[in-house]
Amino acid sequence: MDKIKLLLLFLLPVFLAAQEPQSSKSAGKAGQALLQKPFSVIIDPGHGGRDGGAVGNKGTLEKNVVFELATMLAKALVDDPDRAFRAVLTRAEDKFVALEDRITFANQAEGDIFMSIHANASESKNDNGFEVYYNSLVTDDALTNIAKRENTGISEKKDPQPTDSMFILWELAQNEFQKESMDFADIIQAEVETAVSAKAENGKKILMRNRGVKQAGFAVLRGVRMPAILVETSYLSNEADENNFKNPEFKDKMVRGFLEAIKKLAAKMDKRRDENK
Amino acid sequence: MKLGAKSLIIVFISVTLIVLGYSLIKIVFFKSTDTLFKYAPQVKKIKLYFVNQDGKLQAEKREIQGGGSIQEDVKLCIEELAAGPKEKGLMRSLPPLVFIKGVYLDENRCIYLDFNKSITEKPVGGTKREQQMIYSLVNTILDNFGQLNSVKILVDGQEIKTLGGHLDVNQPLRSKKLE
Ligand SMILES: [Zn+2]
Repeated sequence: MDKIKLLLLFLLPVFLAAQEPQSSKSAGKAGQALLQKPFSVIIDPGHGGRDGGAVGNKGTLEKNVVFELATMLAKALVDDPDRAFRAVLTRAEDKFVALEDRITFANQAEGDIFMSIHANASESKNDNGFEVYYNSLVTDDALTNIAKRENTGISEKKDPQPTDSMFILWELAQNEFQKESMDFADIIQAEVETAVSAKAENGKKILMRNRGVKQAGFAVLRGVRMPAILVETSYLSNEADENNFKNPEFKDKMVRGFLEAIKKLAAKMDKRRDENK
Repeated sequence: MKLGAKSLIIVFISVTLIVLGYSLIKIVFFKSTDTLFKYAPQVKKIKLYFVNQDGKLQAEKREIQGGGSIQEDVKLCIEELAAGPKEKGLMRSLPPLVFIKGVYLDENRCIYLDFNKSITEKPVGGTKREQQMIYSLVNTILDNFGQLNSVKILVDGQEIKTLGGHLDVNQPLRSKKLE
């Protein structure tokens, strides 16, 4: 029984890669692009299967909208004429995939970057907008707490909690990609803003609040060994935000923003690697 | 010979003093930490963090009849939190069927909150909802119980990775957020 489980776990990435017809296949590019090693983007559509994620008031499901955006992005990357990209999805259909399996899969697929796509929901209907997250380190939690206490003049200091060595090693590994993850988050945020706020041909503008770049301890980001971000595309609990998803132009623009950002980041990372050679 | 006896006495007295001193410190120390976590029941003014119209956490003040230990008081606080807000304009932070099964304290002053499955099963979704749930607990605990260092969430006595697929709650949480 255990053997079967193990085999399934091993086969999962293969299965996922095979299921996505566009993935793992870098499109043939003319000229210089051919000489370049394809830049691998792991796209992680949140939730799936029995885990629907957030639900909008009109019934929009997070797992569906994020999957749509993820496949649109994968296609846009592979079809890009300027740069060779390889796009790999952590799930290729409406299926439940555990966070640990997504992480293992991303690491085995040796992505250059990791991007998790989600849609948000809040208890308050007023909460709306787009936000980008990069990972916060576990120890940050303790540090911010101490800093806060010092600022408010509370003299009582608490004993720092013991951190085991496994934790420290893991945090170091995470730190390695922290700078690039921050860059990635900044660029995505700026490019999505530019793309979505651009006027349509009919002169109409899509309204989207930009909540900026934030830091939080996402479980999926903590295990991934590459620059990684998570985008919260909008709030399904907000009426206007949920309506945006009914507009194909909104999705096109958002994906355009993702694509432009990834191209910029890829160029930046190429340059950094060349300098280090 | 005389010198030897003298130094022997000095050593003996020193050792006695050190041992006595240590025991005294130990007694005082244990007594002081003990009173931090066990005390006479009293009326307690508490602050409970609920969700406001902007989606942030806002404290509602309440008075409760406290218990005789920090575990009891924490449990009472979380029960009040789970019951929802009384103030107008505030919304509940925890799903309606969530209840607290047990509260445990460890030697690092981390408080463990053990919930029933509803805290992960209710399909509400959304990172923000998760943040609202997690930090309504963390803010409430850290604000009302200065003697505690961190909060850890359990479900049916087990550690969990996330409440709804987003934020890592597998280790103690130490800072207030979303205010
Ligand atoms: Zn999500």
